[in-house]
Amino acid sequence: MSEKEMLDEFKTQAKQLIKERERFEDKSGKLTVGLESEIAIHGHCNLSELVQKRDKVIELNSDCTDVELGASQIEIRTPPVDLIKKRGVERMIRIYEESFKKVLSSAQDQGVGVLRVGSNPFLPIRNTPRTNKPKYHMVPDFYNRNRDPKLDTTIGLGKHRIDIGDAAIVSLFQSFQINLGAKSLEDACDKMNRSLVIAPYLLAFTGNARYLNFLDTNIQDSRMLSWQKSHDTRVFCDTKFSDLRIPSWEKSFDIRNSTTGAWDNELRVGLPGRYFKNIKDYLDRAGSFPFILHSPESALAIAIGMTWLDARVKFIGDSAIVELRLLSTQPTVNEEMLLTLLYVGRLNYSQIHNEPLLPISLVRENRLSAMLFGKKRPMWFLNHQQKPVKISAKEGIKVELKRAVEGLEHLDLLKHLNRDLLDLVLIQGSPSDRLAEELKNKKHISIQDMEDALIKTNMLLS
Amino acid sequence: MINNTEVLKFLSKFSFKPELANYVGIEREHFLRSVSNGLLTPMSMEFLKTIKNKAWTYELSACQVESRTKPKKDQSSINLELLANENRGSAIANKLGVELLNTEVGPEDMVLDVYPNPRYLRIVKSISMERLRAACRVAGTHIHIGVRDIGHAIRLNNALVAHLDKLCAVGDHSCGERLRLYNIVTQNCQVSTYDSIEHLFEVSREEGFTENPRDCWKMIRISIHGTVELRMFGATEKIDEIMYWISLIKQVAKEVA
Repeated sequence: MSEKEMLDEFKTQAKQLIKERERFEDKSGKLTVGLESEIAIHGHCNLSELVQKRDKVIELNSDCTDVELGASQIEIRTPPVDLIKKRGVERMIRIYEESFKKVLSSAQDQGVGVLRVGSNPFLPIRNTPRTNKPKYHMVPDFYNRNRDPKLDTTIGLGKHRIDIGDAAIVSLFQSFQINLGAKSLEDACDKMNRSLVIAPYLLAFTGNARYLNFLDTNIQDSRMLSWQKSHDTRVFCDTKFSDLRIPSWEKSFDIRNSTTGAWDNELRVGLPGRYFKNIKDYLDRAGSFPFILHSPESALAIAIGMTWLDARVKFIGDSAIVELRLLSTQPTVNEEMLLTLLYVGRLNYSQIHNEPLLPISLVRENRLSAMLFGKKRPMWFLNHQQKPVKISAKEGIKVELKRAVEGLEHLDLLKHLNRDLLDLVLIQGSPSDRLAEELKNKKHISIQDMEDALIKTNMLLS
Repeated sequence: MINNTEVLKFLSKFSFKPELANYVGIEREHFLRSVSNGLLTPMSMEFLKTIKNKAWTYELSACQVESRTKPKKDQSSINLELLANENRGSAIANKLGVELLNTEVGPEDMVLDVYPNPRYLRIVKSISMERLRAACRVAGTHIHIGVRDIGHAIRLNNALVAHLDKLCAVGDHSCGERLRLYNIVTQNCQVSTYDSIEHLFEVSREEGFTENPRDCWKMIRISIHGTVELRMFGATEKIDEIMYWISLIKQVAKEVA
């Protein structure tokens, strides 16, 4: 009954939002960006102490932080800043740096360090500690209950096979999210589709989630991969053999009609089966999944909140905001600012040239290739004739970066791009590569080994 | 009476690679359909000449091509290779004015041109039109799982046979039509369990695949590549569905590891 109630409310709220589309029109000419970066605290203490210290850090920095699913996680957020306003970028950097410094200082006062890494290698992968809020128990538990236990949930390209089958594992992963204001609902949909294409190119040189449970997955960025596998409750065919069937919420609730059409049997995480036609189409997809939580007055917000795509559209007040979600937290604030500008520039290039969207099947390959191998394998790019070609990722990314530069130039933001840092990042390799380089001679990685390597690569600040 | 030398000679035809035990390889059969008229078209030779890629090969029907993956342990890397094959294949097909069609049963009136491979030409000469038509119309997804040695192969074969009906059901998208046609094609596709190596040899003699184990057409067979091959899954558009099938097989394989 609660799912039906939620769906009815969701439909009403979605309809209302689309009816009020003019509310979301922004003719100010601003380029509003807000950042969210998840970090984790780390120290030699037991779980309850860790949670207490985390909560204390948040309490001391309540203006710029929030809790996350993981019991050790903190989200640092900036307010929206207009980047093209005079000194806009400087303002963003100042705010973000100050917030981070404050959080770091509070953590140090509590005797713990701050981890700036996409996957926390210290905490267990089973029964991973979660923040004690009902939603952080109900949602992962739902996926643990409804996923077919026969699904292979082990990952690892090297000698270690790591089981990421507990949906609470997502509390080990920290992401860096870039929020970009849209001019209208149409612009938001367009930006979201283009962001889905761009995200794997950025991921290819910024992977930062390689180690889990002190083990090397040999995967450049295991964050979204683990999320996908642990949250996969799709049904491929009704075999009539109950022991082989993926338990299906659709069947058990049986409350939905077939109007979701092409969005049937989608995976909630990652990349949609196709691009979005418009915001209604996007909302239709968001409403095609179980709500799990019960709060009818917030049905739309809950559905959007659980839209764990690589890019999504959020609605805050009268703003439609596109959020890029594929990237892991980076070792430094500067690297995250670099990524922010590259994303903004590349997206602007795509929009001003009205670039065709790369077929989504190619994006799917790019994304998986970037997650597994970074830029070590060929990827698909649009060539100068705007035709898809598969070429060395290193070469293709050079062209993508030139496009980002052109997009930034058009916005008069190019002067803020830290080219030295970009060159360094491309030469040094992804954060995952840097960490692996530090740990390559360790047969068995101890806490000390991991801490030393993380400190050396700027991913653990204590 | 079984001669040990004969058994050893039979076993020598299988190439087991212990280091690849539990690795998975996929063969996907695809139809080629003309974009202009929507009909299946015998263009496999042109397709293969254009793609020039070892991951792609021919099938008996000239209207089909097959893509395959290298043996891999990690599902994500299998997934990536399937995506890469599909995208590359689709791009080449597009150049040639055709598309890859991932359906498991072709139409009854499809053209019956055969790829000019000597083995296929020999087979075609010896079979009825009904069998040829059935052979051309079916397209499947074959999943190989690596085994250490013949003992491991027999144990895994036997364990998988116990799940045959369920595996056939999950791999079916044609209400059984593909499997019905497959029965017409092969006539000995019924699976067997084996009590021992000697028993496997006996069955091979009875069913005529001692000299060439590739002539064993069983739905689950021990292949010369040192794998147990499952042949009951239909062609599918959804790579994630193949991933699901692999999960089911690996679950069984775990029990006999």
